[in-house]
Amino acid sequence: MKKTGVLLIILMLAIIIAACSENSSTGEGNSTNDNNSGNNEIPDVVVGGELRIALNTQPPSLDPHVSTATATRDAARPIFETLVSLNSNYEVMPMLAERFEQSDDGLVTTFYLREGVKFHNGKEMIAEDVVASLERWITLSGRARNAIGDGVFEIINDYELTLTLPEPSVGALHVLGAQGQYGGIMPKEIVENAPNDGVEELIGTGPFEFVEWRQDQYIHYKRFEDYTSPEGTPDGLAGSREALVEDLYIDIVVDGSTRVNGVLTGQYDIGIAMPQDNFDQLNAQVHTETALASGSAFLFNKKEGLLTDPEMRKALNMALDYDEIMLAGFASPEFYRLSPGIMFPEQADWYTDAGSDNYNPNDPELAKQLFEEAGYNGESFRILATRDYDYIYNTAVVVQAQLERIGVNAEVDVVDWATMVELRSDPSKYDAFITGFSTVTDPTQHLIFDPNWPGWNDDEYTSELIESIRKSANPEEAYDYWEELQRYTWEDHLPYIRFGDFYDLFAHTNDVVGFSVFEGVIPWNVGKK
Amino acid sequence: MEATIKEQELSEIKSKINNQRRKLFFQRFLLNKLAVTGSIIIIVTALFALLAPFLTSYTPYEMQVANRLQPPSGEHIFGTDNFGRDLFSRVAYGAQASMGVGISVAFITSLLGLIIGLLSAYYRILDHVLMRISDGMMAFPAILLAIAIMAALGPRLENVIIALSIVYTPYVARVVRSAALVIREQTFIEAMKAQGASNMRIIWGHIAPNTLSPLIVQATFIFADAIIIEAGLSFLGVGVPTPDPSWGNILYDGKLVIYNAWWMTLFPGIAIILSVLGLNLFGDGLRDLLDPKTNNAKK
Amino acid sequence: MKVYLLKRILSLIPVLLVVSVVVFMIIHLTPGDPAAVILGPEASEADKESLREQLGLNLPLYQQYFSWMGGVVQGDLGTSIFMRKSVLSAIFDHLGPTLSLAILSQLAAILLALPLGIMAANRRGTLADQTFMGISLLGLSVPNFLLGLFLAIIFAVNLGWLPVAGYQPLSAGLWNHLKFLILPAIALGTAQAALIARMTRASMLETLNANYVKTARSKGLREQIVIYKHTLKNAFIPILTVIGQTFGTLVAGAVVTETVFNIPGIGQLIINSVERRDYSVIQGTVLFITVSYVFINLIVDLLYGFLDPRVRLENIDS
Repeated sequence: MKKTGVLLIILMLAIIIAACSENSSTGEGNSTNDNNSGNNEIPDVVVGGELRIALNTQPPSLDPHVSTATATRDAARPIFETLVSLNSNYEVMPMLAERFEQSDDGLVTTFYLREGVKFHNGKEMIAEDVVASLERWITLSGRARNAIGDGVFEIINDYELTLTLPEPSVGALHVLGAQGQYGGIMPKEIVENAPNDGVEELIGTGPFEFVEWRQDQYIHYKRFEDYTSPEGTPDGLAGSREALVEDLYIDIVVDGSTRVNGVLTGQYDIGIAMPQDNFDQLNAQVHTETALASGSAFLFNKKEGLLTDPEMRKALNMALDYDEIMLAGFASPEFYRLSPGIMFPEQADWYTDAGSDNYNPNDPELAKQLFEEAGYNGESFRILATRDYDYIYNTAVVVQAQLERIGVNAEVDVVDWATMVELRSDPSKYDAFITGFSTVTDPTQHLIFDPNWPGWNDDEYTSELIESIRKSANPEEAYDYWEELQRYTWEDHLPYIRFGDFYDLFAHTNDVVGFSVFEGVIPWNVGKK
Repeated sequence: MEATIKEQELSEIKSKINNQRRKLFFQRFLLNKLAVTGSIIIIVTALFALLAPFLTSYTPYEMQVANRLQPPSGEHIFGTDNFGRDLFSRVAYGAQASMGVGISVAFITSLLGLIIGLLSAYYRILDHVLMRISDGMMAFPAILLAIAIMAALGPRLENVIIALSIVYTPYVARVVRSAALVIREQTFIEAMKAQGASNMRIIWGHIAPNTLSPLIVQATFIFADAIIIEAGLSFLGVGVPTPDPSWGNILYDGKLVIYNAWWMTLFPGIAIILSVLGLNLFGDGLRDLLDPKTNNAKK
Repeated sequence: MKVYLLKRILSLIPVLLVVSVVVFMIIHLTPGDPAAVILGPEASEADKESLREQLGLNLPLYQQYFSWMGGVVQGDLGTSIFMRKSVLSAIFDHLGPTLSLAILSQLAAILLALPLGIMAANRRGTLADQTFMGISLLGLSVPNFLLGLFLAIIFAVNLGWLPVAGYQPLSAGLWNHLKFLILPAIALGTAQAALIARMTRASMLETLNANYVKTARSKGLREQIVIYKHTLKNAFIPILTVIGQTFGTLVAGAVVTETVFNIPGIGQLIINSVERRDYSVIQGTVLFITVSYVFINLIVDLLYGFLDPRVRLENIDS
């Protein structure tokens, strides 16, 4: 009798706890009514309902000023908008600024804001909000500091502001529209005195407003009624935006096979970062899409150890078969391409294949000879890798195997991601590590050229060329310097090996209409049949 | 002179008795179906681990990335893994890592547990300190503690052994302590004390031998548990590091492709289940033999 | 009784102290930087440093420990730097799924194990008994994550009867709640069931041979009555012990099972927090689990007294 009493108490506790989580779950189904009809640009799409996107990791923050994580970029995107934006050719286009003009010397840019743009709290967005947001962003973002640095924002009137640079900067305009720790515009009151690890209130101007974040489960957004869209055909992140669903959920689904099955069964409408090994299975039943994600790179420690010697780095490069490395990392040729360009071919202003003679040389015999000449004496290279990103782990394993084939020793140090980030900052802990580099809008933003970033590319000639590129007024002027830097990087200095570009796999159910990806999923202009 | 002859005779008789006992024990062992089945399974697994190099022409490290995820065939009887390595060879060599972890942990925990258990059974003050610490260690789940230790030490085979030894030593110490407490209270110990025998001699000469039976049984179960936890750790990505195979890290690689490469989960999975089953059978049988009074449940 | 309770609770203090120090030490010896996790892969060293300073991660270890311990004593487990809310509320957010899972698998285990164990004891030595012993050993030998994977492949992927992974709270409807938990509960409960069944069989055997049972039989009482009235009640104490102890291992097993089935419970909270180096959450959660484990065992001990008045609570401890 008494033991059933205890059981009852435990059961009741369970019910109470389950009930506590109840208030957060939302009803579904009754939201198909639509009070913005007549505005449907995409046929067959009923505005309303809900859209569920399965994201592979929980974002560390929803404040885009704070984190460089792509999950933050993806989860902040529905809420916060930038002053200018990029189209699919990485060109700067209007966004919250309806137009902008640059002085002839390139030092002063004037931005004209769209009038009547509302924040989610009802307040109108004006120049002081923009300046306050961007000033905070510059203090927090290394890339923004790098491109804009000592530039000064000035308020001309509520709808007009200027950015004045002390000297020309090739990337200043692009960085304002760049993704990844981006300069989202927030109300001045919220930005002022906001702590460095994130704003307290998530108020932006985007097509969706923030509702709730259930840690490790989902982030819920709802359509922002008073949203005003920029004009133009949607292209990349530029052009008009419209929220086509009433409720948007970003579900946090860490396990890859769960995302696959969730999309296959319709539990999620869109899946991000699907495991490439499931491509055939997904393709047979739902829609898939690939999108350029990042470059896979092998960084050498140039501060301590064996690989401080460029000849040793060249010998190592000679031993590697990039194709096998990329295949092991990304499962199938659909998901990678071999390209010597440090900038993507899509970035027409910058792309070059300079130095490609040293790209993917794959000559093990010559490598043996080079190792000997460089004085290699049976030492073991320590490669730092993590299993939190499959391709990093797979790349490390294959690189090690390829080195072993020619009798060169290597050990792979597999740690979790947080540990890897710490270890790679310590020059005594490794000889090389693997990482992905996200898209940058100009070469000076590339971390491989930052002498303080792990790997420590502290090289005089490199810094000289980077300065010349930075101070160019535009990409045309900088192109020759950049070509020389890429050639030098591949042929002489070899601070890292860039194996190639890789693609992310996305999947969505057959009901989804208007799906597009540019530097992450675009949550607007997408709805369900 | 006379005394020494007597002692010699005495020791001869003793050794005869011991021999007879051993024979008897062995006969009873053979009659115990559980123990026999268990030991056969363990021996087969151990042979599998030791003979791995002769069983397959592939090495566990040789990659053919173009041949990744091939299903079982005549060429690769267990198929290939996500790097195009021969899975049979990896499972066979993986037995070395997994069994090696199990044996090492069982051995280390037995040794440490014996010392700690005996000391705390004999010295009251030490007992309080040691047992409170072991209470604390036992109060949180073994795998959590192991995960935390692995995160601190970094994923290496030796660290898996260290982490699991830390986790399981308190369990052994408990078993030894309770066995030793019973002996300590017996009159012959009192008598020895009265005769002025040294503490060390009492502990090691008279108490320790009597704790060996439960210790051995416990060590068998820890062997089995260590294999499971090693697999669990490697499965969560904090166990034996690549490219050395262990059953757990083959399973980890297999989890990513579980829907299109079942063989990567099935074969190492069966290997784990079989060897753990063998150890459990053996341990059960052994316990029946060593102490017929105890019940059949584990721990 | 009161003295006993007080003693038990006081004896908790050194245990918790050991746990807190061990956990704190291990976590802070672990390399990894929460600031780097928050700021993302491409953050600069300078930005990470300034965030570390803001979060108080630059203070000496003992200072961090005492400020955390100071809070714990007042019932404040600290604040998650990653989730930016109190650790206690994070734990309660994740408690529901784990409790549901643990209770369900424990219930399933008991319901399966008791009858089987009793049956096996009654037919000691027969083929049925040996089969039972074999199967129960097999149940003990399958790691729960492996069983989970096999179950998911068969029942979720191939047959499509149940969802592969995920979780819905009870408020979404009983079936919606249960259908996500059935496979994980089986995966988790199997070893439990095997353990309890073996314990049931063993202690039944012991009591069946006891003199008072023999007396009861010799009086000519029906076998059913002998078993249920005289034997089971007395065999229950060791069984109860196993149930109490295994509840702790259930929570441990949940760590791995929740990972396999993507259930947002305590286990996932810990794994995620370890990945993020969210120190206060790891410390708080482990402490929380330890306390619950100890309390469950306390309840089990108290139940002894109710089941068998001969048991003197004061003697259980040794």
